[in-house]
Amino acid sequence: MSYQDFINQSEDTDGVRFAWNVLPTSRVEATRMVVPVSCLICPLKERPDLPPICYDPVMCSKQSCGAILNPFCSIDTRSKFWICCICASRNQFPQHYKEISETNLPAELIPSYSTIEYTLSRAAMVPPVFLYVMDLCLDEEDLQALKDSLVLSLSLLPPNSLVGLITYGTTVQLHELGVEGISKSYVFRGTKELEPKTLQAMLGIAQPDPRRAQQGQAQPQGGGSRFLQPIEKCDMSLTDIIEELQHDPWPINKGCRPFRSTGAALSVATGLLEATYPNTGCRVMLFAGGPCTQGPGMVTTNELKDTIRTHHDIEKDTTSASYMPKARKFYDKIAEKAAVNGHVVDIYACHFDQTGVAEMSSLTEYTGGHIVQGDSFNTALFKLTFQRVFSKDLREQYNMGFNGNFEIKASKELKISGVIAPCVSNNKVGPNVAENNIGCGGTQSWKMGHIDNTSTLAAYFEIANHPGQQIQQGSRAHIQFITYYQHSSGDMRVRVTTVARNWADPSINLPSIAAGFDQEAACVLMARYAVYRSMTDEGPDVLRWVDRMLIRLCQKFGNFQKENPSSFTLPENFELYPGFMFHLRRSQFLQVFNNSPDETAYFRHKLNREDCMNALTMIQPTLTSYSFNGAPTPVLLDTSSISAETILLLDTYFLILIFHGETIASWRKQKFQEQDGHENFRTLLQTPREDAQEILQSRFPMPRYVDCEQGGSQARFLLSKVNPSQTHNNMFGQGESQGAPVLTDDVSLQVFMEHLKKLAVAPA
Amino acid sequence: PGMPPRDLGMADPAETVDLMSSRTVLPPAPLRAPVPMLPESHRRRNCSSKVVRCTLTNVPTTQALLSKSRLPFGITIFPFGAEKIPVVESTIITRCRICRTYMNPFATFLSHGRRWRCNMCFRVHDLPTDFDFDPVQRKHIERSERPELNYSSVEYIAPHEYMVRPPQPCIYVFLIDVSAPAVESGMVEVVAQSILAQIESLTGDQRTKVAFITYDHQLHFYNLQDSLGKPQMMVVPDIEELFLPCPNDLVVNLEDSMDLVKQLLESLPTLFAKSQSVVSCLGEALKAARMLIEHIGGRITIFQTIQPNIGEGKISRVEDKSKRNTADEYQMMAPESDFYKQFSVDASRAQIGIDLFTFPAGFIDLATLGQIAKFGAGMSYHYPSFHKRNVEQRKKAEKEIAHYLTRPLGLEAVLRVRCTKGLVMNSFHGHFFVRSADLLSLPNVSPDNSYSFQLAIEEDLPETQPYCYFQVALLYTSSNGERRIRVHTLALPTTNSLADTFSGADVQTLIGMLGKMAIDRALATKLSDARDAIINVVVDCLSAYRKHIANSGSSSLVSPGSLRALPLLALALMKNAAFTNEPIEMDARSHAITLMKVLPMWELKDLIYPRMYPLHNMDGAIGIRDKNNRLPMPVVLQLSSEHFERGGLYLMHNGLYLLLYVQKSSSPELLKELFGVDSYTNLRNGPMELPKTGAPLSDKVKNIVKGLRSCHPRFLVLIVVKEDSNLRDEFLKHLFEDKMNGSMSYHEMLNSVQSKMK
Ligand SMILES: [Zn+2]
Ligand SMILES: [Zn+2]
Repeated sequence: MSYQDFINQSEDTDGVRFAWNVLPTSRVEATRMVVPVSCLICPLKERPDLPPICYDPVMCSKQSCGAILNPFCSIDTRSKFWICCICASRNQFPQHYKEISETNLPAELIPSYSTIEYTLSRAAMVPPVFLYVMDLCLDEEDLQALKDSLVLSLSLLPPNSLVGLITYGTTVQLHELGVEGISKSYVFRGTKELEPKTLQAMLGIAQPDPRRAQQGQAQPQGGGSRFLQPIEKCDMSLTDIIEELQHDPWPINKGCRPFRSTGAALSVATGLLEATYPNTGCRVMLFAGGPCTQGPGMVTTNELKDTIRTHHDIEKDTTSASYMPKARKFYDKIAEKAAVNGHVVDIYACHFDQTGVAEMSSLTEYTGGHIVQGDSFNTALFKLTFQRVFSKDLREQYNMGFNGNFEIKASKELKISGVIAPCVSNNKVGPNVAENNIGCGGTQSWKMGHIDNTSTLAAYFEIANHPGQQIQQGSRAHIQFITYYQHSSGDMRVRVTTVARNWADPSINLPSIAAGFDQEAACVLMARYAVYRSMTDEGPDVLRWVDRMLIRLCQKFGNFQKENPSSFTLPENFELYPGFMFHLRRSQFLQVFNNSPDETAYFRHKLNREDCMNALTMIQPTLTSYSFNGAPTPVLLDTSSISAETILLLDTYFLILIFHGETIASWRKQKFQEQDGHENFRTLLQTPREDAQEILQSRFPMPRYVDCEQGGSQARFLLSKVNPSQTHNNMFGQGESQGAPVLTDDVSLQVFMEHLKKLAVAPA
Repeated sequence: PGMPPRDLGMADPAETVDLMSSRTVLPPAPLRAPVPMLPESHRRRNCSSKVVRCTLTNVPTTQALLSKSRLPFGITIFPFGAEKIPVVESTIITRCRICRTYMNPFATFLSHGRRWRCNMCFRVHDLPTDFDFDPVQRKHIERSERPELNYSSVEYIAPHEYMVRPPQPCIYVFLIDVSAPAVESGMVEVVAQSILAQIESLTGDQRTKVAFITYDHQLHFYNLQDSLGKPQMMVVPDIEELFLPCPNDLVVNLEDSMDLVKQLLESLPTLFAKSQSVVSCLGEALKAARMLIEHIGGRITIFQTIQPNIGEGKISRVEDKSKRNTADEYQMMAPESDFYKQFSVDASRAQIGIDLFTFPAGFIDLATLGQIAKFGAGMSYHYPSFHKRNVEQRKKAEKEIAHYLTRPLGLEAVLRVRCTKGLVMNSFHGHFFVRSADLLSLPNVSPDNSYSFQLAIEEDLPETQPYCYFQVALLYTSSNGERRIRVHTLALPTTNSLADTFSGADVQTLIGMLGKMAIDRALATKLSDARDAIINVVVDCLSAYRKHIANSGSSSLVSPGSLRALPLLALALMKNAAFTNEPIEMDARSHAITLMKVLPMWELKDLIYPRMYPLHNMDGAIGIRDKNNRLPMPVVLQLSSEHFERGGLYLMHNGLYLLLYVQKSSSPELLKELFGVDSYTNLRNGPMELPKTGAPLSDKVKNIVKGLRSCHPRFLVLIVVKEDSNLRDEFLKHLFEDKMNGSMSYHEMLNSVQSKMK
């Protein structure tokens, strides 16, 4: 089996991709390998083939371990004991495993079930809770579209769910459901932050009982049922309420934005759920049609002359950016609370301008909620995307897990630096916690308000091998990922994935470590790490860090003669990595100034939760060429791929673009495709469109879709992504024979590579 | 005993009466107002005693004379009663240019009718050139036909200069306490149903607007915008920083939103059926109501069951029962906080009037709460221990709310009283806010409220003028949006004689004024001082009379005929709930004080000295309406058990309710005829409606009860009191002439007065 096959298989069965598939035995050597020991893990990787397991897992009895029995554990069927592969403790099988034998093994011991899912039999059924938080400061068209979407969504919700509604504008309204003869809502000042305790007192909801909060429960505490009711009971009345909603009644002054109390509305939403359903799956869905202009979480003033902050404003700390720190602090606080309670917050922001997603991003960062951005609620993009929130998997189950708790257990030589993903720490210190953090660290367990079959975490490790403690050659490192979550059906489930990787001593066996390098996974892991650094300490210096890391990697694993750049080569499984880094440097994740802070927040949010291939597409978009000369072929993301007689399909993950070469475009304009005898041309035009449709259908949120032609204004989206191998700086040198020049001052990949080689071979 | 007392109704007011020897000081029919001694031409056109009444119908010309008499001098007015008043069609409003007195029947014309003399300040003015021209009919008009020259009460339609803004529509904000006790007692249900029953006949026109706010520990607003399918209730739980949950549609046009308003009133009782709140934020509800209508004005009506106990209007004191009837009691009679006063004063500036309905189970603190109606120019209605299961009490509330909702209403009103030069007003009593020296602000003017003024003579009245005058002018907006001025003018003769001053005294008005003055004394110092003050006035007046007029012996106790009932009524006044030395609930005391200050004389007189009718020996015509639709009533007995007959049946009307006293010795026939029961034992005690038995006695008594109720704005609950029941004292305590529980008898009163006279 080649390494690539192994990598693919590991991803398919376990949803795991390691940057290094062979682990270094020395802490010092590990740091010299530049890319940390780390992995991408998709805990709920879709596995329709998994058998239903309806009993509780068997756990290692060692207090500090608690790992779950798995195929890597050695067992003794005669003495009925098993050795924990994580801590090496000896455990007795429980009484009901007494029939166990080599031929009669429970599923969790069968080697192909390194990933397995248990449905906990004793846990109470907990229906999911959906709380809509709806902006009423929308224009008529948008308001109607949003109302339609929400009413439609009531029929898409899991049938057992509970649902509630908050609307906001100048004030915040919490709607009581099921009141006879009258529609009733609680109205809160939009300018005031309400502490959950105050809110609960105002609503007459009892304080959550910490004892009951230990497990999720089906019954709301103290009177919350007035606001959150089973959908089958209230869908009629809720439909009525939504349909009667009107634009925020308060006047909007000339030259002003409406007073929009997004922050206050969210504090009511999270406060309500904290009181009623602590530690239970709850989903707050925020539909915002503009920025918060008053009260807590205010992003800008209500005066249109005050523009919303840009990256430049943030960098220069202008007045426009002055609201940001306070707003961030506010949203961070409620996000933290929501996350700790296992709740999730989605942001659906539709507005032609920014809405404050950048400030609010902790809500999704901490809870795993979705961000969907669009120009208007009255667009197919929003409507279809929103419906996709309720999409189902191959087993016709909602692709939506709630209140996840993700744990990592690992062999003692592995310490966990942290994870980078939408989650918060459960502050569970264990034997595997590293001293230094990457991402969210200091814990072995994390809370994930939302988790679905593509949610992917990046986990970073340290090798903790103290001098003198030799790792036995041939022994393997074990890592177990345990994910407790509330299934949309109300079941409590546990997904367990256990993996093993070989150790190797880098001082004597570096090539075998290098052979286990997964450049794609490494790229994504480094990308998340770089973005994390840029948002924390590093800031704009992160580019230099990326460069330095790349150079060091090349120095470590490249083959070259000192001070001879042309001698430089990389092993095959490292070859693409510099290109990835080149595109990462140019990407919207690190080059923020071409985007708004809201967009940046959104891009980073997606990078931090998508799987390896999707993330890679975001970093280095794919380009496919369609021509009369054979099947569609992936081509280099390079200006040289642009030609008059081809159609290009660009997929940046966020944008799908079809680019018609000059000749093709002119033929299309002349409508050859409609004429007999030009079926081939018709097919040529059709094929990329069908391929694009396929992507559009499956991706969440739905990407933007652009159909353009060479020379058209929309073509800029392509030109900004391709490698500028031909720029106006060098086009005369290259001639005009092929490709199209790009007006840019960026260095091209070729120039970049030459620099890299020079630096790699330079004496240290 | 048993014989009706001698008719003293026409007794000479100037005759000197020896009080010690006359047991009977009141006529057998209700006491009537004395008629001022005026020439026929004046008398015919003079103002009704129902509208303006003076303690002295012969006005002394000098302060010295007045002081010598020791008689209280004041007028009490009832300017907005239900009587039909002629309207001046002419657009000319003729007024004195100096003192702004309106033209009235007592002005005199000079220079062949081209000039007139103001009867207040005596200045002479030219008449407007078209004074005798009717611009509507476009013809000459005889002065003898001008209403303002023929009637002392007229109404003008005010031209634009009497408006600061277009006349406001009727705007009603209903504030309903929906705390658990309010819901459980049925208050919410009864109030909602009562409003619902009258909602289409609410006073107003097609511009009438309504709003509802309910409240407990939070505020509930109602969006009743007519395009909605059902009312929208908006709860504002944050009462610390009050705000309105939406900028409009909380005050809606009644006609447009009628369906929603009805839906709301129908749902209200069930909406709060599960209320568990024992908290009430009335203060915040009031502030919210003010925010709703402060730009235009209107009327706030409060329906309250529990003591407001949170927010700014919070009342925290409980009734200290040990303070009842002690020197410290006045502390409880003073408001705990200024909030309600300050609020209503501010509201008054925004033309908002406020009325208060209370339905408490225990102490609600009317002394504090009542300030809202006092300075809000409203009325206070009190239903202690209210429960909807108490059918008669419920009926009372329903009828009174119905009356309240449908009675005439004047908006954004101001009231000014002018009097003949030399007379000045120095103390005002009633529910209003004094905006400037003599201008009373009445954001709402109620037809049930009266106002009183104490007078002094600052400057001697001119010898040349045999009369003095009082003119009441009420500028208001009618419920159909007309700006109107109602003018009442009273003429009284003046006198230089002390004897005439005494003989012209109006004992009822005098006692009413005395009551109001004593309240001020009680609130300032203590109750016993107020009682002493009442006796002292009697002592002073009678001493002055004995000394200056009667010239009788220093041991005698004499009075002018006009004042023969003074000691008796003063005794009754001291036994009124406002002043009694019996320990009574503070709220009852506070409510009595309110009524004493605000009720018109014709209601107050029964409150001070109830009417007691014997019903067991009515002869043929009594109790049956005659062909003129008059109802001959039985004689009125003085309030003493010495008039009781064995087996007799007595009906007492104390201005608040009717008590029907049934003795154990009543004949079975009588009980059968009246109550349809065969024995005294089977007779029910307490509030009830008399059954229709078909017997003549039953018809008569029912007629009498109905008759008494029909001329009363409050609903008089009939309470049957059995002689041996726990209600017995409730009846007997009204027998003011008797000694009861240590209170003074009439005889003791006379002795006390006599002993104090020097
Ligand atoms: Zn273990
Ligand atoms: Zn005058």
